[in-house]
Amino acid sequence: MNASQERVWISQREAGTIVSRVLLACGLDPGEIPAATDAVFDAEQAGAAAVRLLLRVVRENTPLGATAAMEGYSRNELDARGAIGFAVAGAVLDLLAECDEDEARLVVHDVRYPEFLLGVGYRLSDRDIRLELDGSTVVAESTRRPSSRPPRPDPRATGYLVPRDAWHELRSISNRALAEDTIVSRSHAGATDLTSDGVIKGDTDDVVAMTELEALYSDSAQE
Amino acid sequence: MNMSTHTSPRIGDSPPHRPEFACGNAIPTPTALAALQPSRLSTTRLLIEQMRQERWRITVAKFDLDSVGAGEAVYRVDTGRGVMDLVIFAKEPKRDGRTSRIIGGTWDLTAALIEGPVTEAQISLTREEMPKLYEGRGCEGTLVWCRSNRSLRVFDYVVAALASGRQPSAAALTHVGYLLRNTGLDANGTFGTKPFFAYEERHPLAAPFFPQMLTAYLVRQFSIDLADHLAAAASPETAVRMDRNIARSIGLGNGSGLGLILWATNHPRFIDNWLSVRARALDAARSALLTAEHLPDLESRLRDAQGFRAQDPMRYHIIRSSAEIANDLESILQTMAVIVAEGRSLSGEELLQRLPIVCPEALDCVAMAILDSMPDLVSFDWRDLVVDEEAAFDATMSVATLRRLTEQVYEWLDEWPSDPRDRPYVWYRSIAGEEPRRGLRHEVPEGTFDLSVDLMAEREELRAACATQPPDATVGSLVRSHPRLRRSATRVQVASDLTFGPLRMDMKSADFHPSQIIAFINVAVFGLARARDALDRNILGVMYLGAPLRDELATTHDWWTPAVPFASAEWRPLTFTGQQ
Repeated sequence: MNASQERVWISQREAGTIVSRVLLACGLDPGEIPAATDAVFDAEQAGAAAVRLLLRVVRENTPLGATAAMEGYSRNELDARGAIGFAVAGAVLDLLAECDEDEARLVVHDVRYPEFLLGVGYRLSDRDIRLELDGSTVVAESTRRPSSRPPRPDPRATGYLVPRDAWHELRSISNRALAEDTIVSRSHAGATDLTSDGVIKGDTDDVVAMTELEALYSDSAQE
Repeated sequence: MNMSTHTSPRIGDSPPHRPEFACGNAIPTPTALAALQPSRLSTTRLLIEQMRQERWRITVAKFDLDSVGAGEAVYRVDTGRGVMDLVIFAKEPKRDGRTSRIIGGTWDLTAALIEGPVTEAQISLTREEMPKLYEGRGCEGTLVWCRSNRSLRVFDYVVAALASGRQPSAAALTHVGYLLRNTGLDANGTFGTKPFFAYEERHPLAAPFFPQMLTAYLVRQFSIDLADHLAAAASPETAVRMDRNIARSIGLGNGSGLGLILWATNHPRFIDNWLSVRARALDAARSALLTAEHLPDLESRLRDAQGFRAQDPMRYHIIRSSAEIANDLESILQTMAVIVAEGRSLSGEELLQRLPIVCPEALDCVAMAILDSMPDLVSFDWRDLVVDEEAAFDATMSVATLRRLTEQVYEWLDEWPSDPRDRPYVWYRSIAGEEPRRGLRHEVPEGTFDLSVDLMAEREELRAACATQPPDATVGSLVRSHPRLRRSATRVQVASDLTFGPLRMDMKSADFHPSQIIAFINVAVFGLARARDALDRNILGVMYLGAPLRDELATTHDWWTPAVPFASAEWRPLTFTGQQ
């Protein structure tokens, strides 16, 4: 097995933490991140190689920003206006959930990386969803009945097996969402008494007047 | 005392007629939550009780440490439903790079709780992976990774005292409370540990925080054994083993910081459910009939609680001091003496009504002591504490409903200052150990991502967006027009289903004291003792203070308000063999 085929197990918690940070660092609006993160891993479980795909998106180095209003839609049609699939997944799910009919057809236009939509069916238990991708267009056909797709294992318990190399690169990129460790910022948690190079002064296991303890030790010696 | 689990009604059987999680408190403000005391519902107490009822056996399978404390040990827990091993890697302390914070890079002890019996291959892999920390992965069956440091203040002193044939001063130990201090307990999927939802239904640790709490208990036991070992190694001729009363008064140090605030914002259902269970317990305490036979026991428990608080030497700032609580408990005891002398039965509610005006902490001590005093009143089960935090967005809700719910769940925000000058804080994580930090806006590094949940801004944005939509439009359509509001709308939908609503804290506000919420989780939820605040953003406390030692689990009860011990007269000579 070569390096690009090696896989690593990650928990859903780790998956969520790292991908949320990646999306934050790439500029996706924080309000959209939870749904987008779900979409990435739903698609990964659906076999869309979404983790590698996310890495491709990130390498494009285009700030994501807040997704534009998806206007000009109808009940059966949604114009994603060039948004990436993971940012559109929530809207697709909503439209399918809002649908009253037993059978419905939804066409989503102008989606970048539509593969990120391939896992949306996991989240609607009362509808059987069939997806077709054609370039930047996605067609979702939905029937109100239990899904014919085999139930997926609960990712909260099973986590995910993802490509090791892509995951490590994403982990590294996720650090961009973390703040620089400055001397001042060190005082924003825990001790405020720092040396000029940021080293925490004083006793490190607690804050207490040592003289009091020394007196007590002396008492103890006389016990 | 027996805490029955089969004859009494279970918490959760009936809804409360007055949902107050503390006497007179149904609103989850930081101040009200910080006043909640440890109780039978606290995780450390639930775990000890489970260990006692199920007769868990803890043995030392391996203790291979040298004269400076470097080496490995394995503590084995036989639960009757499976074995778990704590694999410990200890080393001689170094001063360099040492800090109690998560950003520390050197630890005196690292350990892994693993479903056992562990194999040599698992130990070897763990030994290799743990030092990598964020880059490392636990072996299969790993439940917890933990890190601890020796107390620089008392560890060497205790060893020296024991080595010279003396017991350490109980008074000195009381000022610290521990020999080892926890600096990290990682579980539930972190570093490759087993996710909580992967625990089998009958897994002995399939309860919230039980894996971490068992690890903490075992590390606390190891700290005592380590001190005995080092004393024997230093002076085999004169060393004595630590007196049991003193050993029991040693807990595991713990410092919690701002990360718990971020955790609380992500776990609204857990906290709300925990408060709901507590409210039902409180309701049972108020309804209880306290007979003339019960009252002296209750009085005795309150006297223990008063003594425990009176002997607390810690200094408090935002959190109410033990001295003040002790004074109020003394006032309560005076009234209790009168009530006991009357020799008649009364309800818990009547008792609470007759008490003098005291601080909420002291009042809570009484309510929780009623529950301790009448163990058959209610039974607790960890299953009551398991919730699903997965937030499902309801796209079909009408905009009118969302608008109404937004006003309802955030009405309390009107009482918080809204001027940006009064809301100067930014919350973020540092690249150093991913440590959560909170700083003034102008002090944080440029480009920092603000992780605070700005409910005030979310409310305003939702109000404005809802105003642009027809009332009968769906929230789905609102979010298609305003994709960035998906999380805010979901948060309102989740909060509207909570019994007590969201925690009433504005993370950005200068009026918000993070230490109060951190204290609530440490003290009430986990059951830490002597939990005092530092810098308004850390809670320093002690886990398992007074708890039974590993060979006392079956016989020791009511351990949570220990008096400062004095060494028993029967000091035994130390005969440490390396295996116990």
